[in-house]
Amino acid sequence: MIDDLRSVLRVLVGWVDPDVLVFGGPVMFGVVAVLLVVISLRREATVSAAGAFRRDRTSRALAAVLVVAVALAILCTAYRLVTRAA
Amino acid sequence: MSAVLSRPELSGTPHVAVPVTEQIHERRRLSAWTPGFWITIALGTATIVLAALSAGGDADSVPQVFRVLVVTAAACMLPGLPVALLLRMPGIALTMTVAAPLSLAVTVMVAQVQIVAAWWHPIAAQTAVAAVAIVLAVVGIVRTRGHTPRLRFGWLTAVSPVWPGLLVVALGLFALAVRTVEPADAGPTGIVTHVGPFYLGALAVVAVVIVRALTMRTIVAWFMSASVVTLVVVTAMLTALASGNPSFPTAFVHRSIIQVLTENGRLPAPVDARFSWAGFFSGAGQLVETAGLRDAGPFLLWAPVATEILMIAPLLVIGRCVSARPRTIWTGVVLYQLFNWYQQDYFAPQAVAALQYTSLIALVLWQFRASRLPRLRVGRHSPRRTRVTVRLRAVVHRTPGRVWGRGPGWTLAVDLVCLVVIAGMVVTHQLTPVVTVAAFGIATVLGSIRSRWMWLAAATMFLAWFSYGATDYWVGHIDDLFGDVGQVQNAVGGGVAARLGADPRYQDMQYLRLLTSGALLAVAAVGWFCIRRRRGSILIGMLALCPFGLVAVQSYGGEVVIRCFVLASPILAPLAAVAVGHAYRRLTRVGVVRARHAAWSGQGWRYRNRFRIAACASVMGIAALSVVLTIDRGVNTEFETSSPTQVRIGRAVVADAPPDSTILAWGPTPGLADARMFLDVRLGSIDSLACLDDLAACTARQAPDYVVVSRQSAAALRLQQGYPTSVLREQLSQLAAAGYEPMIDANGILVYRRDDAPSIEVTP
Repeated sequence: MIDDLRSVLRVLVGWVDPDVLVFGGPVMFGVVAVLLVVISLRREATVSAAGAFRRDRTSRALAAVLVVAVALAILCTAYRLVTRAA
Repeated sequence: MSAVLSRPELSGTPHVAVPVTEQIHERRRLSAWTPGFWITIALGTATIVLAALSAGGDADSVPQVFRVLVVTAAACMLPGLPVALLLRMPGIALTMTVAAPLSLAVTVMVAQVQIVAAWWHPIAAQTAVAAVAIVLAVVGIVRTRGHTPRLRFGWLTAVSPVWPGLLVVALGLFALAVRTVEPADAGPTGIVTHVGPFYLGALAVVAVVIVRALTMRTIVAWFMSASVVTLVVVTAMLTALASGNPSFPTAFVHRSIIQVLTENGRLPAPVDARFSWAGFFSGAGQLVETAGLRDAGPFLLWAPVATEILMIAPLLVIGRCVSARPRTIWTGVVLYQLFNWYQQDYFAPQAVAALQYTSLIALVLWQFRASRLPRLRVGRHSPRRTRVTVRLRAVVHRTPGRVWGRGPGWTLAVDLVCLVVIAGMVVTHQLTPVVTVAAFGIATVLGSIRSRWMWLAAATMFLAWFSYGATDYWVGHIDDLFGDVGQVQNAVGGGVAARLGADPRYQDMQYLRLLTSGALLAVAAVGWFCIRRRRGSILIGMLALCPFGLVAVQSYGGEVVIRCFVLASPILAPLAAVAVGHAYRRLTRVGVVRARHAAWSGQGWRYRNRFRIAACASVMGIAALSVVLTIDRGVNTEFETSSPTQVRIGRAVVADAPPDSTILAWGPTPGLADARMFLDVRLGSIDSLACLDDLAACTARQAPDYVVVSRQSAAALRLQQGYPTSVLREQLSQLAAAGYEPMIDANGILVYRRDDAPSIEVTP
């Protein structure tokens, strides 16, 4: 299974400098943390005390950026896991 | 009068769905509980004084019991108690639901940072935590001036002294049982066949008192708590107190891990997975240093009682979300203790992690119950299919309102508390954060949590620690980790079938364990059916089942099934209590007209008898469940219990072994643990069935310096693997022929040394 994962990652991020991927993990985790703080603060500023069903356009844009940041964080982590694992 | 503005629904119905009584309840309790601030100042001061004494080397001037109590209370209440009070959590149960896990998480995080950074200053760190707590308490006292509640002592006289007196009688009978029971005599049926009449008498008295406490006109919280604590002491501490050692021997290994950390002030070489999640051990090490103790030994014995006392608060909060009846809520607490046979409440990371998980679930459920839900307007004349689709989509996209009477700052502060607790959990335990992420995910999908990204925050923290904090672990085990994913059959087989053992009587006892957990699950299902129309019922049901998803992810060394039940029980028990309460009410139900008619005609005794019969049935039920709990908890006593002398010998063998020597244990040997087993002594065990078939030959091939066989090893081989004692004797004689000679033979421990290995002198 690990070998399969290695092959997939080689296709996905084989063209990226490995150092960038190794150091990109902590950076992306930091970005995710900052985005979560921003989203939480915006939630309390925009969602009323009675709750809501819809979110405004900025919130949706922030959520999209968060998804991308999480995906990159997972990619960097997976790369580090499979390249260093025995 | 109906106490609900409109019918509560989960699926976003067009009305405000918070009961009126709940709103009043929340608003009345906004003022903080000021005595808690004074308790914080007293405890913080005691901690600082103790830390100063320890730093000066004078800690021994204070009795050890007092030191252990102070640092344990500090770990559970500082700085969480003043934070919870400043957040004005309503009621003592919710206050402690925030205070205990937050305090433990802060202690863990502070200590873990020092260990990872190799900057070990535990006494200064604990002093700083206590000082911060005192400052917060002073702020709280200043802010709540003029709101000092009147001291009331009515609760003291709310219960006739006869009933607390009976609890004392029960403890007295238990003390007599402890003096007469000999855990080493336990056989395949465990300890239950040796408990004697005093123990059974203690169980009967506790059952009577619990039924009395539950059937009083008004539930008295302190009396109910005292009854539950007595139940825990009687059912969980028999073998521990009788043997003078913790009943679960892994606690000795944990003591050794803490010793490694406190002596070196940094993480050692990655010889054990537990060092990759060392938060609990770092935190415990900080407490050991603050209290000026030699090691963590004094914490081991009473750890189960401390853990279960802390569990009462989140159980009450969960119970309050499941039912509005105080009797049902407290019945849930009692049932949780009666079905808690898993022995995962010993001095271990999973005990702390389970408490934190339960508290987080309690907070999520309480916030959902106490918050407003947005209104949804669906055209009455729309097609039914459209209405269902719209409502389902609305639930998924719903962000609940804030808790009644609380602002955005409060909501963000509670989110921060949850994040700190999750952070503490992530560095403490491998498995529990996975369930936490799943639980928050479920709450998000059901639109039941205002912090819709909490699951992602928890997952990010877990992934970040796993990737960068636990590197040493996954570098060597990644195939095992990924290999378990999706292997449900293996996980269940390893957790159930492989643990049944070989001895027929031992197997019967294991089947009883399975039956007990299955019964809780079945009764909880009935309880859920009873509350299926209650607001949040789907959320509660999903959270109860959520831990069982672990079997699809990990086998956890064959322990995953037990861990699933450990994490699910805090919700299963309150649900089961609903079913029990329902049955009790049906049994005692008397129609108003019939009761009046009976009273007029002098036939009232017929209906009073119903209550008497129900009370007697309850006493017998609780007593029977207590006996079953004693059986379940004590099945493995024969190979888990140990005497203080055995522990001393086992520890000395490891501690005094020459550097770089190897020790092979032929089965579980409680007490065979010391810090050196993680440093320069290699401690091995029999790890394959082929080796079990020919122990002597396998040992000769491995050529360890020392071989340890104990009474417990023989018992485990007999009960779990089916090897009679004669086979072990034969193997020992073959071992002697293979060049090993007996070195120590005392108190049920037999240590062989290889001919060329130096002798270890241990005084029995």
